[in-house]
Amino acid sequence: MNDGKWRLPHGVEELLPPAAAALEKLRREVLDLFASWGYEHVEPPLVEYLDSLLVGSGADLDLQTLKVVDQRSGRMLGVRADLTSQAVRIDAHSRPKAGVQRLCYAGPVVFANPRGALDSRNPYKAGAEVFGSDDLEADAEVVELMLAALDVAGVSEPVLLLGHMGVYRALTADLGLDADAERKLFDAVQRKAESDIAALLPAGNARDFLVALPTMMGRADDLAVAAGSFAGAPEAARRAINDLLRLIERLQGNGVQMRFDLSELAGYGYHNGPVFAAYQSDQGASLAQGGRYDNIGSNFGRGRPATGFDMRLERLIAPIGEPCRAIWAPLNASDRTLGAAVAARRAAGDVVICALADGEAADGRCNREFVLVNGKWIVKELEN
Amino acid sequence: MGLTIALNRGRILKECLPLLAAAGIEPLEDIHSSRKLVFEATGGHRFIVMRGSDVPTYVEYGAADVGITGKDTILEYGQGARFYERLDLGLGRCKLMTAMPDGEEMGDGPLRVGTKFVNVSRAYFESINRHVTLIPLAGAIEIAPIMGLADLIVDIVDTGNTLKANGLTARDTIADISTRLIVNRAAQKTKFDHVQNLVSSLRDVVAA
Repeated sequence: MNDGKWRLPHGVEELLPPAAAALEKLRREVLDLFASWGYEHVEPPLVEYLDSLLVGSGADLDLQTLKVVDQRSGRMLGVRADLTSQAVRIDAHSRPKAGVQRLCYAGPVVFANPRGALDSRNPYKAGAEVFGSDDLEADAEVVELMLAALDVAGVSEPVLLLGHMGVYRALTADLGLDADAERKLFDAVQRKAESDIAALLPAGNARDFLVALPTMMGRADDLAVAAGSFAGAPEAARRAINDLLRLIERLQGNGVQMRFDLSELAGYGYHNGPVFAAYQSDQGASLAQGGRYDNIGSNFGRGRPATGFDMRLERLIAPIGEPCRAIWAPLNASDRTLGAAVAARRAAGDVVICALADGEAADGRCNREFVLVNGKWIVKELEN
Repeated sequence: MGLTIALNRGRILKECLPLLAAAGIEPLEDIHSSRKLVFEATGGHRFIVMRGSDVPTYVEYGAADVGITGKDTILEYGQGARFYERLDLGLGRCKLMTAMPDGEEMGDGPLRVGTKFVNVSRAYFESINRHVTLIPLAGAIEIAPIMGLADLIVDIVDTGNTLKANGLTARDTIADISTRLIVNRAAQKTKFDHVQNLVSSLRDVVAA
C-alpha cells in the first residue's frame, strides 16, 4: 500500500549513506578541533522554553523557531533554530565561570520557515563561543578557529569577510527612526540598495554616510583608505572602523583572502561588534559566520562580552562513495574459529560484513573475503 | 572566469543589452534570433536568459552571479536580504498600483483582490490594516473586476491606457518600479573585481 506515508514535510531532509557517515565524520573532526583549542563541549537540549531561546534576537529568529505547547507546564516550547542563545544561557546561568569560558557544540536545529526553496529545514550546526573577553584577541581567535574548522572540512581558498555592526549602529543612533522605518532601513542596507536608502531618509549627513555604507567594501588592505571618507562620521562609527582595522592587522598572514564590508550586518540582529563570514567562489551562500554579541546574557541575569561563530555542517560534507574495502565472511556456524578471525580483523580496524544465509553473494562494499585454507581462515581478494 | 549574468527575457532584455554593451559586455551571437538560453559574451562573461520571476531565484542561490530584473519581480520574490540590489538601472519605470472600476469606492466591507503580485499585495493590505481575499491570477488582470471576480486589482501601471480601456481607474501607489541590477551575496565577495567593474561601468552608463 502506498498512501504517501513515506513523504517528509516540505524542506525536511534526511541523510543517507554515504552522506550520513560523512557528516558524522566531519562532526567528530570539528569537535576534536574545538577541543584541541580548549573549547568545552556542551550538549544543549533540542527544545526549551521559547522565551529563553529568543532572548536578544530579532523577529527573524522568532519566525524561524518551531513552536509547540508543553503539555506539562502549558508554556510555549521552541525547537531551537540556533544554539548561540543556549550557549549564552549556559554561560550566564547553568555554568557561570569567572573569567573566560570557551564553549562549543554540534547538533541539529529546525527552521520553521526556510528562507528559500533550496534551504533545508533541519540543518546541522556546529559552533564555538568565547564568553568573558571584550578584547579583539577573542574575535581574532574565533576567526582563526573558524578558518581552521573550514580547513578540516576541506574548504580550499575561502574568502574571509569582515565587518563591524558598530558602524551602522552609530550612524542610525541619532536618526530617531521608529521600529518600522528602522526595519526598512536595515533591510535596504542589507540589500545594498543605495537608491532605496536615499529614499528612506531626509537629506543630511547621516543619509550621505548611510548611502555610502553599502559601497564601503573591498580588499582588507584598502580599509584604511576607504575609512578616510568616514572622517566626518560620528565618533562611535570611527571607533568601530578602527577596531576593524586592528582586527585585520591582527589577522594578517593567515593565508586567506580577506575583505571588508561595512554594511554586512550578519546574524539574527544580536551582534554589536565585529562580524565575520567565510565564502567560497563556487558557493552561493556563506559557509560559516559569526561575530561579537556582548551582554545578551543579561537576559539570564549575567551579561558578559561574547563572540563566536557557527557553520552548517550538512553544507560542508562532500559525500564521496566509500571505497569497496570491506571483507566478506561466509556463513559458517559450525566453525568457531571464523568468529575469532572476524573479531580480530574488526579490532584491527577493518570492516567485516557477515553473510546471513548460506551461499549469499558478497555485499557490494566488499573487495576481500574470508576463505578456509588448510583449516585456517585467511583473507583473499574477492573473485568477481 | 567571468560573471554569469541572468537576464529577463522580453522587454527588459531588449532595453538592457545596449546598456551592457555600453559597459563593455556583449553577447558573441545575436540573442534575439537564437533559441539558445545560454550565451557566451565578451570578457569571459556569460548571459543566461529566463523568465523575469526566475532571475531572483538564480541569483539568490548563486546559479547566476548577477541578474537584471524589475523591482516588481524582486518585491514579489520576497522581502529580506537574499541578494544585493546594487543599482537602479532606471529602465522600465512604472508603478505598482491598486485599480478599481471607475467611480467605485473601497468601502469598509470584505475585498477580493485579483493580482499577479500576491505577496506584495498581502504585505500592502496588511500595512494599511485591511483584510482582503487574494485571488492569484496569471494575466489579463483587468478583466477580473469587469467579470465580477474581484473588487480591486493590483498591477503594474505604465501609461494607464489598458486600465482606461477596461473601465478601471488607478488608485493607490504601492511601489515605484524600475529595473535593478541584483548581485549574489557570495559573488559580491568572491568575484569582487568583476562585480565592481560591472556595477561601476553600468553606473556610468546610466548616469550618462
